[in-house]
Amino acid sequence: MGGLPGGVLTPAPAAGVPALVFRAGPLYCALPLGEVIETMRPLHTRPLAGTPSYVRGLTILRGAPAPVIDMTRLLTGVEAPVDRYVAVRAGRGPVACATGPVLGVRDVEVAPPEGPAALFTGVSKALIAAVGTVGTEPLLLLHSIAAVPDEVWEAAGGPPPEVAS
Amino acid sequence: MMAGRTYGGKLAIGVGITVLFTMLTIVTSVVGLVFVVNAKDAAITSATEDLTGAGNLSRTMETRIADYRTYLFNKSAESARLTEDHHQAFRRMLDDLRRSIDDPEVLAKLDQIADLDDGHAAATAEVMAARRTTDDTSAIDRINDTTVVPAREQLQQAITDLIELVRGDVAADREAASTRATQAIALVIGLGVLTTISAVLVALRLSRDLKREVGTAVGHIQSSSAQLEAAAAQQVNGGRDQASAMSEITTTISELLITSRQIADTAQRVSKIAEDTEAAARNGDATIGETRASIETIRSQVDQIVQHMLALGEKSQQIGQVVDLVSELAEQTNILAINATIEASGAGEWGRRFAVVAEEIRKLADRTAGSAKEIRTLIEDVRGAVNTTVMATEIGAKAVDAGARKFDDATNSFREIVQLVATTNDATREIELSTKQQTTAVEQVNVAASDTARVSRETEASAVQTKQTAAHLSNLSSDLLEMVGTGRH
Repeated sequence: MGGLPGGVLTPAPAAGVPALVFRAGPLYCALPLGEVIETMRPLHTRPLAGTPSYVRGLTILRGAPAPVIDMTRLLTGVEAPVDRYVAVRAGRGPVACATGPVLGVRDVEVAPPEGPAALFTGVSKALIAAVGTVGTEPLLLLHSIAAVPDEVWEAAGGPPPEVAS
Repeated sequence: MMAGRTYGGKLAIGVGITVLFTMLTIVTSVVGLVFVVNAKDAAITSATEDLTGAGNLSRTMETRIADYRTYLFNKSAESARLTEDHHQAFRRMLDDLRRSIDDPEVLAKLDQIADLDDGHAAATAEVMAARRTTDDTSAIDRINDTTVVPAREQLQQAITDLIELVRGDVAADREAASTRATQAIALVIGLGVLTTISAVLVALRLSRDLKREVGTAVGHIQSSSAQLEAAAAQQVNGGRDQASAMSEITTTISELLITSRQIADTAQRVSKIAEDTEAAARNGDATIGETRASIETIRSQVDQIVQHMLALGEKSQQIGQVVDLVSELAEQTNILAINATIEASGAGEWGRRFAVVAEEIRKLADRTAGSAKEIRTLIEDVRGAVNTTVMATEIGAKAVDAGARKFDDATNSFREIVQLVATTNDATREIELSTKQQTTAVEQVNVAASDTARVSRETEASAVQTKQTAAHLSNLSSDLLEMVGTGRH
């Protein structure tokens, strides 16, 4: 729950990127629909020792273990309430992204990375594909959720087979 | 022996001792006198009878000898007969003398005289026989001289010895009687001296005890008289003070009497006011009953309000549960619509149409969730208002209960006040009655105080008299001490 009223996000032009828009703490974020598997309520999550602070632990997605990434902590470094889990396709298997309220599917207009996104470095640079706006708020278009360390995948039982996109 | 006895007892003992010694002296004197009289009687008897008997014996002998000589001279029968008669009389006198004498020596002498008399009688009989036959006086004289004369001389000598012996016995008896008389006199004198000494000792003892005891008693009387005089003086002063105080008391009691009457009037007015207060209190009791019924009604209404509010709260909670269910369904619908949109995005044109429918469903779900949220907010507001109302009502109920309790307390206090007013009324009546009795008593006390003041003055006068009497008694004690010879007090 907690989705914004329909009028908050104006329908994007057809040339936009269809993406699932959600909130991560104070930020508006979006994931391309091609990477999104489904949304769900937060599931039972088991913490893992020796992992980065943005990894909440492991959960079971459709009968298979999957790491849970706290998007708010990953993008902002602060704690925020988790309303939804968004299952995405990662390089080594599905990943559950713990997010704030899911606002819906929209076509988002984003700028190329050479714009403001050029300021990002490290994990953010690898994670943020482009930057747009939602009204007066910035919108981060994410891609390639590859921030899960290998130790997490190992703790989850080894690399699952590649999922065909 | 006299220790611890009264002076009368001591006097009786002393007089008894003196009388005892006097009686002893008298008895001893009588006994001694009897002994002396007997001794003197014995001596006189010895002197009169024995000595006289011995003398008579000698004279009879002489008469006999005269008769004998007369016969020898005239040879008459008369003389012979007289000689024999006197001889017989001699023998009778000798026998009488033997019976009256108990001295052995004298008795032996009497026996000797009897024997000599027998010899002499034989000799005289021989001579008289010779004379009867002859007139030869010479021969008669020779015979007489040879036979009669020696016998007669021996007989006379024996009689003379007898007289001497009897005289010696008489002298001895007289001496013994005199000795006994002397002893009796000495004994009587000794007893007299002893009686006198005893009487003197008793008199001295009694005198000393009289001085001591009477002196002590008189000293005590004198001391007591002094104390009595001092006490009388104090009593005089006390009597004056008492009379003065009684005068003040009488004045005070008069004022007290006035005050008591004022108190009685005030108590009567207070009693009237208390009766009015009691009547007002009884009217207030009825009002309290009505107020209490109103409070009970309010309490019942408040209870009903609370029950209704609680029921409203329960209904609101049930509505909230339904709204939660609606919210849950809207959320689930939202998730499903999004997932449907995601799935539809990869299904080409038909997928885009389905995505539009799913988006509309999602919007409806959002609107439903928003409405449910608003309803939830409204219900929360209602529940808050209900809770506030319930709390306010419960507070009101508690306030009503507290008010009821306070009203009960006030009612009890009011009833206690009523009871106290009644008690006060009774007490006021008692005070009124007691004050009247007190007024009467004060009047009596006033009379009694006046009498007491008069008695105090009389007591003062009596105390003065007592003081004078005590002084006089002290003087008399001094005089009595002088009289008994103890002037040390």
